[in-house]
Amino acid sequence: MIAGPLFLLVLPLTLAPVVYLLRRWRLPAAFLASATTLTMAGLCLGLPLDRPVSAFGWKVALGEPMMVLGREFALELGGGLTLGFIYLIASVTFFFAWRVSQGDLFLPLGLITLSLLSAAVMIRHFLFAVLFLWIASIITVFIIQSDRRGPRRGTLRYLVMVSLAVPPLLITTWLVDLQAINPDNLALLRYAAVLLAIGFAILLAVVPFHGWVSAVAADAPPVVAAFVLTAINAVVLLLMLNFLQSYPWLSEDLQVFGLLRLGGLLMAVVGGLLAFAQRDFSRLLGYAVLGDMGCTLVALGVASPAALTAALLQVAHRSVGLMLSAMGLAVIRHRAGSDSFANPSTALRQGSGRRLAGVARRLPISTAGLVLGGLSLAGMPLTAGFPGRWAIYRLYHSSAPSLALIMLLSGAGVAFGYLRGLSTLLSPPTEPGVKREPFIASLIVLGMIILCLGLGLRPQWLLLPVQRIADSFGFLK
Amino acid sequence: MTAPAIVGLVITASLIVVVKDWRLSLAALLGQYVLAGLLLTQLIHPYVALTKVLIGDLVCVVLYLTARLVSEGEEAAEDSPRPPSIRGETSLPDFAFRLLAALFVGLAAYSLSTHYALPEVPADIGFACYWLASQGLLVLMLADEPLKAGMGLLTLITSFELFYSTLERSLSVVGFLGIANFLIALAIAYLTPSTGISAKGER
Repeated sequence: MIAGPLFLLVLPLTLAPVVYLLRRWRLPAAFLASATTLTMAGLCLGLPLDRPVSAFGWKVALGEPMMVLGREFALELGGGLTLGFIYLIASVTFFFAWRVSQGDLFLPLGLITLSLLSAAVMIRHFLFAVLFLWIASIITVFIIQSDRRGPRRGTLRYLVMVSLAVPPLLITTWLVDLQAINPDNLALLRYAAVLLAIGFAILLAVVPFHGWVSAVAADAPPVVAAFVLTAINAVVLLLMLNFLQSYPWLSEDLQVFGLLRLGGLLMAVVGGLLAFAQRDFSRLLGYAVLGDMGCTLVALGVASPAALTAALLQVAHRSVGLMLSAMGLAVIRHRAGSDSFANPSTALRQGSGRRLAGVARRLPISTAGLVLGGLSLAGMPLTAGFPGRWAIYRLYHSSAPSLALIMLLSGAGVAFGYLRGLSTLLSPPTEPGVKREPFIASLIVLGMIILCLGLGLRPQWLLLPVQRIADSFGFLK
Repeated sequence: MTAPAIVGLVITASLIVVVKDWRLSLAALLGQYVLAGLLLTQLIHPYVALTKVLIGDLVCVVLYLTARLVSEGEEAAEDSPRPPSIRGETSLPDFAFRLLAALFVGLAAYSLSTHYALPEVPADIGFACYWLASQGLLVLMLADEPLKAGMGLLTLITSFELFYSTLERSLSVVGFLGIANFLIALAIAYLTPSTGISAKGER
């Protein structure tokens, strides 16, 4: 009998070198990476945790714990569903990379990153989860930089910020262990809470540690940026919830949730304001994600099971909007060579912006994907982003309507940014020669558009698994 | 042995801040790993300390090879209008500013070490941790290219390891930190601009 964690750790790691060797042949490489992640998603979402089943000729016990070097790995309900969702998104992403390359290293290192993130989710000890997350984040530096030469500030900033977040989190575990030996020393818990807040604030890009999100969005290939912001952010959020679940002294402290609310609100305000002022789609994507992540934290600040469900629903729906917008942007950047929608005078100085004029006529599906994904990140009705946002607004509409209004305005800032970009894309073309969109990539974008609209109209598609994840965290009453 | 090692760490970390030349900075980083290893022998098992020094040496080898390649490429492309990415010619005002910044930040580190002594480590080693962390942060703030910023980040991590090794003695954690250090060095090497190399290739 094979323990489930073994599959999740070993299979992507084993296939990563094969995918690397195949990187010059993009179809087999993308197909292998996509099939691997789809299999992983199937395992996580389809197999029961409580009993062994036969899969691929082996007997697999997905919920069976596994020991590696004295450390226990086990897949639990929340982790399994989260990983399944991440693998599913990764599968679509890897397949998309077949037609619109996101760099030679994206597929093999993406698989390694997923394996390390799985380890971070499954390992029982928080300290090692943080170390796995750190190493996964360092690996993503290579795919953010991609094949381009020359320095990228975003990549370096990301590396530095993630590395700065790790020491406080590691020291927190020591303080918590120490407090277990000295239960009367409550000062230790205070220090632990402060360090934990700093560590997670950096990883979740809470203002003033938010600079890396827009920098990564600007510097990385769009789909890579979406992959990093989706997968790593989901795992960080899960680790935070697991930590709150493990230590009741923390989850019972209302100040913790007050901090989450405040941090989230700052992110929503900064994200919305800066998105409003952007002149290129990459940075706009970064600030849109920042604002949306802020709303998630504001929801968590309510500290109720309904709020947790709303926050997790928003995380799941955000990944669809983010991926859709990134895919549309990837095609546009691939074909037009630019993503700047600066006004004509600025564009003349920079020699870039006008290239996007009229692109919507040549690349209609990609344009629709880019803008619809952006509007979803803004929480506009009929898009995937709306149900989560609406649930969050409802959480606050009676107790703190001003917070709901601020989040609404933040979304309006993001939506305005995308609509301004759309006006450039729809304007009369000034430069000939933008090729038609690639067929397969357009089909994938079209599928994502349908999914985005479908989730906007029928949020119950994802509500059940999200509800199951939320129910697995019993610390909120 | 502790006092000379701490003085050495103060000097090497400050050198990384003040000096722009990559050879000197890298030599200071190497010295820093050796001196931190010497201090660690008093806190943890000597073999573990030695392992950390060896990882530090590997990190320096990776950075040296990268910097040399880039430097050679840039020397070959001296006529190129592109600015050199890692060659460090420090002007006097720049040098004075960096020296003053290192001193002020160092003073702040000293003050912190006296008011907020680190637990589980002797006071002098706690001071070394604060000094390394503050200088590492300063390098990160002042650096304008990845190699230098990477040295700042590695200095910061060395400071953390010096402190954390006494708190967490698990060999798996030592292994993880070693892997992270080495991967950071590789990432820095990957990010270091290769404009010079490509210019040489064009010739």
